[in-house]
Amino acid sequence: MSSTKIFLKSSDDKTFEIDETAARASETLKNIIDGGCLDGVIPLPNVSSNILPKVIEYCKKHGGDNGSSKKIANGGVDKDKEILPDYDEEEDKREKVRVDELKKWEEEYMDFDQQVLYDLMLAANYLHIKGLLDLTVEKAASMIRGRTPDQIRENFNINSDFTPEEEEEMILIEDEWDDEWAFD
Amino acid sequence: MTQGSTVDLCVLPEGCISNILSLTSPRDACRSSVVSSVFRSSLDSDSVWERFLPSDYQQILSSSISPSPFVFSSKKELYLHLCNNPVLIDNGTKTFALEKCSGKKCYMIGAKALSVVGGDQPEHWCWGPFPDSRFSEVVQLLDICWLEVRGRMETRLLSPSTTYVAYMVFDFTESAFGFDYYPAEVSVKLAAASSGGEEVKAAYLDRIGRNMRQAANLDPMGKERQQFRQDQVKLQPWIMHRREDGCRRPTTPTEPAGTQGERGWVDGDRVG
Repeated sequence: MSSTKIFLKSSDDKTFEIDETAARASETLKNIIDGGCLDGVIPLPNVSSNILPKVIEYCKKHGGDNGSSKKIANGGVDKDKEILPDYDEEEDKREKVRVDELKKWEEEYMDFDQQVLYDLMLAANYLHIKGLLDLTVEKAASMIRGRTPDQIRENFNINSDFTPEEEEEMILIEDEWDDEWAFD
Repeated sequence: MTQGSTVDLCVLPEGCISNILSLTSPRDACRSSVVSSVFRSSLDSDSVWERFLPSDYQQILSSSISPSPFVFSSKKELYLHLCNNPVLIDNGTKTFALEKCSGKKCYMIGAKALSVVGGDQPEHWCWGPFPDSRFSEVVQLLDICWLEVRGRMETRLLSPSTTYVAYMVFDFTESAFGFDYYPAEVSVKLAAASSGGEEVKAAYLDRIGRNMRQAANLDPMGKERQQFRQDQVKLQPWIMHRREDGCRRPTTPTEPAGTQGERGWVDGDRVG
């Protein structure tokens, strides 16, 4: 079955093609399509041609399911198990393979630097692609977990904007928390 | 790392940064506040701290017997309060607190809610207040030849996917005796699990710092948690899995038959 093609125009006036089913992974695009006011090309003034192909790649992979591997692994499978009395083990195995494959794909897909991360997070936020937003937010969180402030600055490529006095004060606050957390 | 990038963290909508922080831990989030003002302002967001508080915290606090109602200007303030000030719950038989690093739930079971063998016999045990205890009543051991104290905790009340450790909190009277000679048996087990999974260890309920002897896995915690003046014996760690149900029973201690008599205080079992 061939799907209807949708055209997306990036902020720098480049046009990209996407299947309608894939485009529906985005709430924003879905609303435009369902709204019926589709006039050939959908302009996306907040998404550049650098990042749009990456977004389209995600949408293609997820068709219309709108979820990440995490969501499927934690929620979907167990829930079905409780509802269906004669749970199909084969089905369960196939589902596991599918989730594992998706996880691997996501891992490779998310392998990029922090610049792409910001752009992708903004695009996912603007286009309301929840699964993609979750992935980018999780990646950013992993860049903070267990890191020192200096490592976090390096990971996000940011400079401290505190005055030397504020900096001094912040260090004291941090020491205080660390002391209290000395208990393992 | 891209140097001189045009896009900065500041361009992210505020909700995004709060969202990112809420996926870290309270400790990570606080650390990140030192990084830059963007992080610092996001850290005060209620949406971040709401995620760090246990999902059922309101229900737990509704059983609090605290005289003052819980009114806090922010979720962060409430979180920090619950870390530093254990709250009496369940008619004052338990306390509830949060472990600061992780926001995981910690409970302390008061002596009144423990099962003390012979606890109703005034010739063996004496009930009354104790100045250092957070509970209104503790139990004092007068003299007994069989010391057995058990505590129960429903696993559904604990934080999921968390390694818990049970401690026994107690203190000695001036005239306490009989604890030096034999180790006590201590164990933690899942009541719903089939028998045999319980690992029994030996621990000397000895005075910390004085004549301390190491029995298997005895780990006196007195110096690490200074807010407790009573001695603590770490009983046993266990891992809480999300789908486990039933009751955990930190069982403490079961003295072998025919031992010396003992005297001392029992305050409670702290699970945390």
